[in-house]
Amino acid sequence: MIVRLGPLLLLSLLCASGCAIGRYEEGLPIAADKIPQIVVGQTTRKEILDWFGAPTGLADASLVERLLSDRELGPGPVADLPFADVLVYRLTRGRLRLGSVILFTYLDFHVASDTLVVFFDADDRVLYFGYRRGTDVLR
Amino acid sequence: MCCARALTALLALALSTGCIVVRTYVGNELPVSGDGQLVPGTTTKADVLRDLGPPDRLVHQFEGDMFVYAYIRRNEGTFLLEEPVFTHLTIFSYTKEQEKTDRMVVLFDRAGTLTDVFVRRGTEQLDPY
Repeated sequence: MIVRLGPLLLLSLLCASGCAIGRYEEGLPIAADKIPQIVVGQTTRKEILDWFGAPTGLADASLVERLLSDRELGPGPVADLPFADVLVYRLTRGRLRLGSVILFTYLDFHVASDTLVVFFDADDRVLYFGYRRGTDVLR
Repeated sequence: MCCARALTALLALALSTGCIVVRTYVGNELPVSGDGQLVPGTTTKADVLRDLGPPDRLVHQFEGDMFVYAYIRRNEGTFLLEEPVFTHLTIFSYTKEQEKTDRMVVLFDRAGTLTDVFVRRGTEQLDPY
């Protein structure tokens, strides 16, 4: 009887394992196809707003960023400026992977962002801009 | 009988201990700035934005802007031994946490020309386990 219970016990222990995958997304995807059309000194603020919409921070609350900066795990919002000579667009993605095998649990949490920052001159034309696609590492 | 005791002991041990490993990654890995890429007095803000991408934090200062690039990693490992059935009393617990940051600060003057760069790579000091 005990010999029969052994494999059953082992099987039940093995069944005590599992995994979980979670994904999180905040913000709107940045229209990367429009980025080559940005020309320094020519593109206007209106065109940028037309192409990319309302910038992050003005249109949506950045929940994960706030949470991470509250826990000192992140640098906070990209720009927190009292005047608007910079527009920031940001898409933040998070990925959670959890694996558990009997006694061992592994949890992996990865947060990354796509960011577009556009500076304007006094005539509301693009002065500088920078774009980084960081969420590719989550694929 | 002996086997039953051994199995019971094994089951109790299996239920009472646990090992938890947590890895947290926040941000994007720092861009690799090659030698001579960032030259104070020569490199402009446009060069930095083009080559390194937008910063994770942008600070306006009286003397000019500051770009902050940051990548944060936290490793956490826990070993836990507790009474599994009645009290869930923790008999032994060991936790090791390490949090390290790669941080690059780029300073500009009012004209948008680079004045200084400071880099600190902390994530290389993380223990693998």
